[in-house]
Amino acid sequence: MFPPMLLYLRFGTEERPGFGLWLPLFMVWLILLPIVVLVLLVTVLVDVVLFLANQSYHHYTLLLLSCFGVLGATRGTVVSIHADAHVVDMEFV
Amino acid sequence: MSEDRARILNMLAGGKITAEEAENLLDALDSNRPEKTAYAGSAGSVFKGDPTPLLEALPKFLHVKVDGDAGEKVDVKVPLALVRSGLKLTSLIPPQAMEQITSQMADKGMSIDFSNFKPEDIDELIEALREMEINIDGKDGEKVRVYAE
Repeated sequence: MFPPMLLYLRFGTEERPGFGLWLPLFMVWLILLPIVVLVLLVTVLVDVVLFLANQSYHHYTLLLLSCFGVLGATRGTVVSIHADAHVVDMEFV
Repeated sequence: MSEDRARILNMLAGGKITAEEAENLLDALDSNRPEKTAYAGSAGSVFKGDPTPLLEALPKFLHVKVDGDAGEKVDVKVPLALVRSGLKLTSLIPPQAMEQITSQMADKGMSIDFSNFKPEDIDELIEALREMEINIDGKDGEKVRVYAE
């Protein structure tokens, strides 16, 4: 599952629709990709060392992959707040 | 009336599925094709036929709608995949960290022990959300509605 590629933000009032912003989250993921790969390699190494040392917990790689799973599952989340004549809409696309 | 048939009719009555989807589900139930079976529900019943319509009828989003007494409105739509992923993540958190999380949450009045969650419980929980609907009407006119769709 891919993480959300865009984040839509809209700020306005009840009278005026205001302005909407389409933020390209895919740019953030591209920038973070080398760091993520590096961290993944480190967790694999840590897990192998912990496994060889007979440690009961050696699931850091799975933990990291699950974090990516949570990130990917945020796609489709919508938050809409209308309060005090202000309107804020947020959507992960 | 079989349990699966009753469940489909309840979903239709509750507005969870359309009449056409209900018809498709009932047709699939009647077709009784032995080559395609799918586990459906916590009661251990076996759904015979094409499982695709049943899977499509599963809720995809959890809605939380709040109407405040002063006219403020909050509408949150959370994919159930996020709930599922989050619960699965809790089963992978190191035990020491989980103990700290549990104690911190207990201090804040939320005594939930995530270490008791098992992967099979998560699927059952998600499936059960289909039937869930919470409606709260406050005395000052505020309303809270939680449902899966």
